Amino acid sequence: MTNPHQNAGHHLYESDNFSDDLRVHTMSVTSQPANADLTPEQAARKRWIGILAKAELKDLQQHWQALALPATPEYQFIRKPETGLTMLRGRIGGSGQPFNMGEMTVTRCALRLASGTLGLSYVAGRSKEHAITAALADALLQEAQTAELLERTLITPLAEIQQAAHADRMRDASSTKVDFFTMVRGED
Amino acid sequence: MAVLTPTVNSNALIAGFDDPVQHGQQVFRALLKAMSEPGTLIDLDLNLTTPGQLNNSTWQTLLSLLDADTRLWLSPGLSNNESVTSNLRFHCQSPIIDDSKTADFAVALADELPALTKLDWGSAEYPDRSTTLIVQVPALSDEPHWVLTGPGIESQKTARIAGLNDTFRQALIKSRKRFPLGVDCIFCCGSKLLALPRSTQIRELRPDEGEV
Repeated sequence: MTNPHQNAGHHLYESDNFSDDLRVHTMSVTSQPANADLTPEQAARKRWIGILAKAELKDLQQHWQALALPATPEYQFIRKPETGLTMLRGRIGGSGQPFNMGEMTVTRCALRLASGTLGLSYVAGRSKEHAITAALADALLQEAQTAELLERTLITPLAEIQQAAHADRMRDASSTKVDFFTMVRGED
Repeated sequence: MAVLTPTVNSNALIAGFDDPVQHGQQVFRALLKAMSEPGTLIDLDLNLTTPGQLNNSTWQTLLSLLDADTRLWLSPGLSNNESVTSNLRFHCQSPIIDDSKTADFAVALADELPALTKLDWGSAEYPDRSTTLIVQVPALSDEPHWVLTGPGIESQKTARIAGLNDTFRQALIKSRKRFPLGVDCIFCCGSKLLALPRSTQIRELRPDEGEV
């Protein structure tokens, strides 16, 4: 993750930013291997699973309903949506010993399309509908006939919404930025 | 002990319990009855699609008893079957291990039974830390063959469990002398199951006895 303040040349302590950083590290120390180990298919799937998981339910529903799918997909549950807790782990500063940061509520789901493709989802929160829609989208994104349509009308807009929200947050954060220029010694 | 981490093949995954909480408890209740009334044939009501060679009652028993904290040993025919290992890893999350001696649950096909001495019998301090053996057998009935006595049986019961080799049968009968140490067994066939906890004494019917 890029820190918008890293080139400012000043020390910055800003809590929002810290938790954001931490979340990224948390993800990388748990089960997700680095992108370098993934095949291009896996990396692409990882990206859209992430976008579907992080999407707001209302955005997801809105774009999902706007999809003009050729046919309503038929599917069978392999694992019905279920809600549970998962431990998030982090590393202080991104490189220290892992510690348990806290538990979060996660809903997961697995389903199989009539064609045999398996769709998986792990989403934050308790919405079963979110989990089902995300799993269904994951399965359809692996299907040759529907992949392009979903990428264009679901994943791309959701990614844009998330990027805009992230940029907003960064802007909010930088408005609280304090320059400790008087504290810095040894400067010209 | 090494934890085997077979890859989960997503093409092999099938649905588990339709309602994991209710059905898991329903099967657990049936297992409780089987264990507390040894030798009673229990019929499981649910009918699920099963992975690999597993039959209905074995699959439901495993879905209901296993979780991420139970170490599982599988007999070779099962551990080499991708559908069995993938579905157990996906639905139960149990670590599958290669050493039956440290397993909480051991699952075996009748013709691949491990020697009883290769399972954990518990210790005098913790007899409960023993292996529970789940065996998938070709036939189960209450025909007189074994005479069962002990807690949970009013006078005596009879059972015939097909497919067990002679060494295993003799070892199982003898193992009952070591109570409270020992191995609890669940025998599964089709949708039926029968339990022989270590408290049950087993006697083979003599040929001249005929009816009990």
